[in-house]
Amino acid sequence: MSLRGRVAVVGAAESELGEVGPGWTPLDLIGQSTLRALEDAGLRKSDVDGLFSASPYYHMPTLSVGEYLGIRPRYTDASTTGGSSFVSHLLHAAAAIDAGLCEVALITYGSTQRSDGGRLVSGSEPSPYEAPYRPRYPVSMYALAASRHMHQYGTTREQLAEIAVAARGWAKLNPKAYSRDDLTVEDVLKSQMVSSPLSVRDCCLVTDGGGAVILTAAERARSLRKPPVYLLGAGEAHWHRNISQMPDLTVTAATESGPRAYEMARTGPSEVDVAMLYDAFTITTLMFLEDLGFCGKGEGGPFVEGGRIAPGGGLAVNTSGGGLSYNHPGMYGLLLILEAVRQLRGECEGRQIKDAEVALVHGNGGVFSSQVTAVLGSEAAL
Amino acid sequence: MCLVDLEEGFRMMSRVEGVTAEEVGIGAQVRLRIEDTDDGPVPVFVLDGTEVKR
Repeated sequence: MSLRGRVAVVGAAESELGEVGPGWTPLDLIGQSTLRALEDAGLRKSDVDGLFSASPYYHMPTLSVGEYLGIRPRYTDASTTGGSSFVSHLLHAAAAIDAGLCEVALITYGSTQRSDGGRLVSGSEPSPYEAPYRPRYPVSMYALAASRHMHQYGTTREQLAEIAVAARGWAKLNPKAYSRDDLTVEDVLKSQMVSSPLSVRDCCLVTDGGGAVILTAAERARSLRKPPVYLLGAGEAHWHRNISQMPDLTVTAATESGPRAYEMARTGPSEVDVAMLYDAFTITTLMFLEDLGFCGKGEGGPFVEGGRIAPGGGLAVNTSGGGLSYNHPGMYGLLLILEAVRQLRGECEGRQIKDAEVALVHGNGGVFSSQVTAVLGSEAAL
Repeated sequence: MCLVDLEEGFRMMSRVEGVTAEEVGIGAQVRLRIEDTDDGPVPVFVLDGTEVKR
């Protein structure tokens, strides 16, 4: 039996974003976004009986979140696969709801990393086989993949820069985006090198932020406040934890998670109206375009040229402005889901994709390690 | 910082010593050297001087 269309997102909300200032904790942002998502759904906190979270701040995230919010779940899941965790939670929550283990699931996350000092808060343990060479986790690992992609396929820094410029183009249409000033390919190329070949403008933002998503069974979803956004398909895959164990630096496990999600959703890349591809770095967007079938392997560079994924281009990617220009609170996966939901509900105003019915959400975790793909759809896509 | 494929059949992170990053291309042949550091011995590599196509 397939999970296709059996569970829907009924509530979705951001917390305050950007730089919230001192005195806020990640749990405060979780609480704020959860209340907003419940309001969005027309549900009460007491309706929530399934709790999903992941966090570098809290060792037992769902316990801390449950205590803070006053929720006593009968189903709890703190699966942690880095930034992809929350897309993974979509699949896990749908399975739990469909199995009758909970009725209303809350997935939530918050981070105050910018107000805490502007550095990535990471629970990652250093690898004893990599630490002696002092890589900058995680950017050096993504830089290795970018170097290899450039070597193998002739991908250029200019092509990677196009991805940052496209994200900025979308961010200019999103009042909530953190970086909205002009950005050109030349600006990206001239910006400070962080880990060659990735400059600071090839890297995601370091911001505060949080969000919450509420899911329930499709039948109940239809009686709630907002149009349901159905989970049509989802798939997970991971092949390695450390970059030195990635089998091929130019091919991610999205080549498995994507087809799994497409198969369950009975769809494919040509049916996708809008794609949210985890953009921790410009190279991640490029490799996911290839691995999820939007173009062939090695063709990502030419594919993004000429504003292909920018506003007005052939494929709408990361319409919020993405992790590169909208918000990246340490782990970005939950915010990917929020933008997909807004697009499918038609709530995106100046950046709305006309008649968007199918949205792809792709989460990445670790160092190209965990890959989770979900396909969401409006009623018309069922 | 780089990744090295060893003829012995595995890949490891390491460093190529004695040259700038620009002087080491992908595909360069390298040879193991053990470097003594304050944290103990660390396996590093030096250029073998020959370019091989991989």
